[in-house]
Amino acid sequence: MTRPYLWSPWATAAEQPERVAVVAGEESSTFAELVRSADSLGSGLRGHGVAPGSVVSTDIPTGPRFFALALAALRHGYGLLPVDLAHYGTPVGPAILRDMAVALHITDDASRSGSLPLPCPTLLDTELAATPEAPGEHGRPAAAPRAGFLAFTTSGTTGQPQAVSRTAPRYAYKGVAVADRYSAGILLGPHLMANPAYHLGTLGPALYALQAGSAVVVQQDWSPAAFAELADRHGADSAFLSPDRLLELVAAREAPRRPLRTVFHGGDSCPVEVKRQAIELLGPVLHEYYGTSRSILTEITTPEWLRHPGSVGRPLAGIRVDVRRDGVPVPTGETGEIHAHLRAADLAPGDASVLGTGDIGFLDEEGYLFVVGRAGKEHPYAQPRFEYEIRRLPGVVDAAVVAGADLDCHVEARPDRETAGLRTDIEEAARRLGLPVPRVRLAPPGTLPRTPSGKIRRAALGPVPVAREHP
Amino acid sequence: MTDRTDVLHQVLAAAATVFECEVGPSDSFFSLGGDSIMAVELATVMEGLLDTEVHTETVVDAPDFAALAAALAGTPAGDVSPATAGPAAAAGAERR
Repeated sequence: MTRPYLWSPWATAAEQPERVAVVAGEESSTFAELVRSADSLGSGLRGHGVAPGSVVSTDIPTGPRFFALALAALRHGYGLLPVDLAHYGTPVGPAILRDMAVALHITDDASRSGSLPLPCPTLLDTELAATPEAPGEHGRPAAAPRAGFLAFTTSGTTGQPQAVSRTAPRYAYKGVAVADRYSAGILLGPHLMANPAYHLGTLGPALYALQAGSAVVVQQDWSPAAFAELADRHGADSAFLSPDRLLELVAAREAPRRPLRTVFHGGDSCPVEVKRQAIELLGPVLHEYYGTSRSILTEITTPEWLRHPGSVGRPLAGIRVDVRRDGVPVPTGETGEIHAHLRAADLAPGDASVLGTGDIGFLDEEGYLFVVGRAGKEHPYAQPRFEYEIRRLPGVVDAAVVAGADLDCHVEARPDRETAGLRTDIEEAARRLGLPVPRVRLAPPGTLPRTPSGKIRRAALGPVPVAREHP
Repeated sequence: MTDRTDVLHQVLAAAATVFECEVGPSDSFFSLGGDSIMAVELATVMEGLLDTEVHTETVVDAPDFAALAAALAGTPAGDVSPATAGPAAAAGAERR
């Protein structure tokens, strides 16, 4: 076991300049090219007078140009807010940019440069990289800036996506602390991004691996077979799977022939049965996390999960989690809203140190957290508990419960599950929890609407027809 | 290993170097803004001052610097404990 050490892409570029850094379809870059681009972009931002610490936004797809910009932000002291291209033609994109006081939007498409209706100037990344740096005061080089950060939007499962502010680090960029358990480094194979969406859950592991010295391989067209093929072709050692893609991989029983060392997943509840199948398929390498768009709160390894099935793990060092009802912590095992006591490093001035997550869950005797679901409006605790119990029923692949005037259950179930029995089990669970008789829609796996991050898009589910359907 | 008081002085000196501020025995690594990168830095500086192996897990598990000094003075490091940060945190600031 290697003790943790600090490393960065600039260190990789110095040791192995021709090492492949990013692969996305036909495009690729070496570490030397990547850090050269990042430094040019950083100089360009200063040359354009963008103040250190400012936030810039981008719609560049995940690939060599995106990662160069991300590293430019981290090393040269800017916040980078990636916003899905789909939002720019709607009021959502400009609203997010206004909220975050974005100074500049950076794109890779000349047709969008200057044509997007945004509340800030737009510039091509190539123009930015070609901009000469303004000379420092009295010709002296400026001191190393504080490290930058990436900011994210919420995934929009229940409404419109919103930007979440992040805390700028206090110190100059130094890379990452490389730890064995995340299976990335200069001696290890690439990280495979199976869902290259703009979210902390998927960009976080990729940026970590890249900074640790591994290449990042972007899977541009998803299929379980293509995932296994790409992992084998590039000799990947780690991968990230969004909730929907983990479900599909398990259903297709596709796994790389060369076993992955670490598979990150998280972002939404994974039914216990599905996760057991994923462990059988991929090996004891699943690394689940739970958090918000602001920070990761808990992690769990596969051996821990097998001792605490269904848990999302224990809080990271320096973070405390408690479960409250009406603001008062509840005893172990009781359900309530999950609150996180964040680390000072995660707090901005004026932040409350306790973050209400809006998720409902409970802690077990050993402090392992179980996430039941989002707080319901009509039935704050019973509704997410109901959804959690539906997810534990045999044959259920995923579920979302939406309560308005009626209690609507949208359930993805395996085709071999007998539907009348499943409906009865669901109705029985509602009765036990004191909920009204639910309306149940059974759907084949993979057919409910999803966000780009792979969660069920609840806002798009619509009412369940009164008449029973047959999948 | 020197006695606990000496170790505490060295721990506080190392923390003051890494955090670039005055540090007391009741301060904690995380209350001062510590993250995974600073855990590696602090462990490295302490190793230089104490001439003994210091694990980052020991650094992040101690509730304050007095407890960290006690752990270093009393027993060799080598425990296993929760991580300071997941890779997902790396996108935020690279120093969680």
